[in-house]
Amino acid sequence: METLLRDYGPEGVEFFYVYKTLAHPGLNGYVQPLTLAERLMHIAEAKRALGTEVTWIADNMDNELKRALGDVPNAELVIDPEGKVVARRAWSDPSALSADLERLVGPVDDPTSVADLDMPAPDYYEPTVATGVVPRLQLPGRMQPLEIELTDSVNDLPAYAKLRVEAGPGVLEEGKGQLYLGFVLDPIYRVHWNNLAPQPEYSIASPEGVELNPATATFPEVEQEADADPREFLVEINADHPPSEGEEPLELTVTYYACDNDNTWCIPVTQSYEISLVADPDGGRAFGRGAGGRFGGGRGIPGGPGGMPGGGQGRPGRNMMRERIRSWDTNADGLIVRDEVPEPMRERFFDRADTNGDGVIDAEELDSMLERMPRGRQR
Amino acid sequence: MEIRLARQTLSSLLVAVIVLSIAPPAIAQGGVRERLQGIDRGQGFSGRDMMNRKFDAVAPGIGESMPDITVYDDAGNPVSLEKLLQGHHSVVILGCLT
Repeated sequence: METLLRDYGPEGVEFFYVYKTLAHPGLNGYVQPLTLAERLMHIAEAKRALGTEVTWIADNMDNELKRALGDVPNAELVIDPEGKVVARRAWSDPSALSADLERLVGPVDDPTSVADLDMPAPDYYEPTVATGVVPRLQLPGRMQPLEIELTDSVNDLPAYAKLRVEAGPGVLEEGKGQLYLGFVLDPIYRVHWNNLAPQPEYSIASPEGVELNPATATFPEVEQEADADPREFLVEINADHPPSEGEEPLELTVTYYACDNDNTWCIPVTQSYEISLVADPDGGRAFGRGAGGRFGGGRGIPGGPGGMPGGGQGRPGRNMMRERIRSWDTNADGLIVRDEVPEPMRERFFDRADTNGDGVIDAEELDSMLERMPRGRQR
Repeated sequence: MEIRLARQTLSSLLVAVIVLSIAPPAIAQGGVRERLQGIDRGQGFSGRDMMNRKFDAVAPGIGESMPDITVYDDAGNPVSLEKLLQGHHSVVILGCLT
């Protein structure tokens, strides 16, 4: 996109990135914005971290544009001067886009290459305090994000720590199972937990007929004075009826101290959320913990139990295969993207392994692919 | 060194053989539209196939207009998408930090 901007921007072509909901909350530490103001802060962060010169616009908070494009995470369209679509694809493809522009606008004499741009590597936010000091949860299986809404914040403070709620098997169908609660510091605010202050607490009020255990909890003590790790809980939910439309939500209140990374302020925060037992189509798929996480050792996930086990299961062929495929993860972020797969195997391997179509292969998908192999082929 | 290289080559070949072996026949034959018609994910299609299908069904087709949705510029000003895209060729790509 950046090279095409250099080549076709002077020819009058306008380029727009549309910032939408996060496809993979937790990747590089970033969490889902709750407000338009926060989505705009993400755009500023994207410009800074990626060094892009493309114009960014933000989808509205009802995610109407994403919805209008079929909820795919990386759609690409070319529009003519009359506003009509002249090229479209579900997944951005720079080579195909270049061919589109050559056909529509004309060839350029000396096309810009990526090397010409001399762009630095992405500079994602790195916490300045301890990380990897609070053990991550091992989730019981694939969980679905639930709809949440920040309903109250004392003194109108932003959600420095953001809640993420996911439901395990059985919750959405029967009202029974486990809820994942994650309280994750939002990197756009450059804050950390103050572990010298009283430990944070949450409490959840539930409607009649819905039992939660534990409905209240105090966050675990942490040895370090400050850290930036998520705080995670699994809560058993046992309702005497399946969730239904319009049902009264759970009401969660959390209290914590947030401190800025420059240590110029440290303030108590009290915030409330409504949690609906309804799957959130815009919740994205979280990385960094439990099933569906990154391979072990991925950046920002130090020692997380959600990583791919490196040990064997008594099947040397599969283990050799796993290690071989993991070696394709050239940027060591614990995920494999299409471009990291060797060219001859890219099409067939990637599309078969990326079973949820989110554009990356994670630990669970790799395990699943290995499971699907005929046993005789695993050696 | 030679043994290591031979092992690497062998394991690469192994990956290729297994990857080819798990690809369902439907992927190797026929056009995309034919393959997708009446076939659900449970019959061997990946999430990406399903997303492609959803995009094809929902997103504006060739010759159609983009929906007139209010989006926001990076300063937070509301902007009509329809007006933003008028009068010049435009490239629109969905993206995010993750």
